Amino acid sequence: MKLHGIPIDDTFAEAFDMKATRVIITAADAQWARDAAAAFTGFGTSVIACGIEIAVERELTPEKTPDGRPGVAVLAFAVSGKELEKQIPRRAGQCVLTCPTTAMFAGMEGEKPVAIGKSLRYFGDGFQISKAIDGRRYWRIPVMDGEFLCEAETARVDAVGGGNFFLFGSEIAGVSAACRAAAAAIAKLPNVIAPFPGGATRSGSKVGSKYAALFASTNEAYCPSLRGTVASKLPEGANIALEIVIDGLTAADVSHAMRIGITAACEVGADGGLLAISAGNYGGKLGRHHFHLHEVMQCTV
Amino acid sequence: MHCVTLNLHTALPARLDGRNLQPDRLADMTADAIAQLPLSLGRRRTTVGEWFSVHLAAADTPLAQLCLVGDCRRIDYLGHSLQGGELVVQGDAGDAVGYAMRAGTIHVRGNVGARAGMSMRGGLRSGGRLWIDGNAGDYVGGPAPGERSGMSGGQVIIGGSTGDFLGQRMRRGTIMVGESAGDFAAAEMVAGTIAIGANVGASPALGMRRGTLLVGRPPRLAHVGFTSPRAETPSVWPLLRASLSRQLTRPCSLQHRLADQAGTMMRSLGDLAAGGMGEVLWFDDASEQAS
Repeated sequence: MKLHGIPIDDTFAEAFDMKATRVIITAADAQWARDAAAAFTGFGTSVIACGIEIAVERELTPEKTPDGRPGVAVLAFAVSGKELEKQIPRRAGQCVLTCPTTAMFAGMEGEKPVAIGKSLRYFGDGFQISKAIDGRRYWRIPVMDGEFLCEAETARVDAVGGGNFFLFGSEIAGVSAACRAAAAAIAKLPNVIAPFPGGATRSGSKVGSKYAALFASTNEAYCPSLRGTVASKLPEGANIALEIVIDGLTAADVSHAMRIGITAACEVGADGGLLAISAGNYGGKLGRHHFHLHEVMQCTV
Repeated sequence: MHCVTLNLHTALPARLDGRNLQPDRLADMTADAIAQLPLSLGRRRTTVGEWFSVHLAAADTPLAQLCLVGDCRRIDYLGHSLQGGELVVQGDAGDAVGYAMRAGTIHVRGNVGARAGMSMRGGLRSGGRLWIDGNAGDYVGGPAPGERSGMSGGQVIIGGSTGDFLGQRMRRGTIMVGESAGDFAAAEMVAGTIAIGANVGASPALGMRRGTLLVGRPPRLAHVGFTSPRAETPSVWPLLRASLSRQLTRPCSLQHRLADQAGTMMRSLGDLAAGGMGEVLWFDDASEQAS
């Protein structure tokens, strides 16, 4: 199977059950909203050591936000609801509450709550005000630029994390271009994020390590510098492997994002040294969700 | 389930207690059974059939519906403890409409007496809706005699004006008054939101603890107990304005005020004399000054 001349491996990506939530950050202007979101989503690339995978889903025009101001929607994924419940209010308190002019709202409906304002209200030291509007509770916390308005809770849902595809190339410029095209295409999609820097990682990992303290380590089968010393999965001529990891609210969202991303990469990479597309899995033994590339792409040779 | 219509065919010589006229109770009854329902006229025990003719029609919704037609000014406690369904009064109604209602809808297409919405109950996402097209008397949304708290849930929407003690000791819910309110509005208010489209009488928010009182024109706040007014728009204003605007389907001063937002929004906190931190908001047009 090929797309724009780029071979697509007959393999699958193995993804996992996760918990996800969405919040909406608004501010007096788009810049403050972006600043708050950048801080809020910092150090959130991988649940391995960050505890959370979190990134901007999309920017919102004033018409699309609860208070009619410019905003940003942020998606966050964790392995457990408990971790989300710990991370979200902590990040909100240090990164959104602190940012000038911001407000924060729930971005998701559901039965299982994740506290935001309900947790942050104590910063008001008794001067905070609760206001219930249309069955939703908001906390108004007095701060130096007026009030920080924060909805009491958002909700969390079951989600899917770890959808992925590999891009193999001969040199970094070409693979970078393909990678960036894929990330840009995925960034336009709702309900998904690619949480690594620029949407991609160069340190794809495998489960386990020779060191007892580590539960993930370098995926040596895709390391070009180890070719000849380990069983390599790199195609002939490949000197670079980058991986795009996708988290999404549903398996369908992840699958769609993979298709869009792979298509964008192949469109750009055909002349730039992109050699092949593949995906990472653990033999199908760890993750419940398997995204077979050929099924995902539904494309013909 | 039927849609039940009760036509008042005989003028009431005294006040009638209408608490047995519940939509969800009557919806599955026959006309004869409804006619036999007891109603107290003063101290005299009477029946529905003595005062009303009963008409049943097939309901086109699963919601229990009861409609009262005729001069109901002497019928009190309509919608008492309502838990669901819809009660419509085609005209005026008496005192204590919607007393302790918890769910459902009451729509009075006229004026009501005193104590409408008294002790209405409900939670963050529950509660009934009391809609009065005309004017209401004193003590709307206040506590029932002997009770500490007033309204604690639901919505009251009044197209006209109200009397004194609007929202006294209210602790949750929303009251919207299309035109003006009398004296002592939001007295001892604990929480919730009251929005008044035009003027409010003397001594508003006296003893207020928390909550929001929004007035279309500058109120006569006490100089002692309330902070100096500041030009300040609360963070929650866009959401509150949108919510209030959605509820108002008929033209009134409140609807116009929310739509045009003319003037600067002013805010004062109090009643500090009661340890309170409620907020009073109003639109301060340049031509009108708070006294």
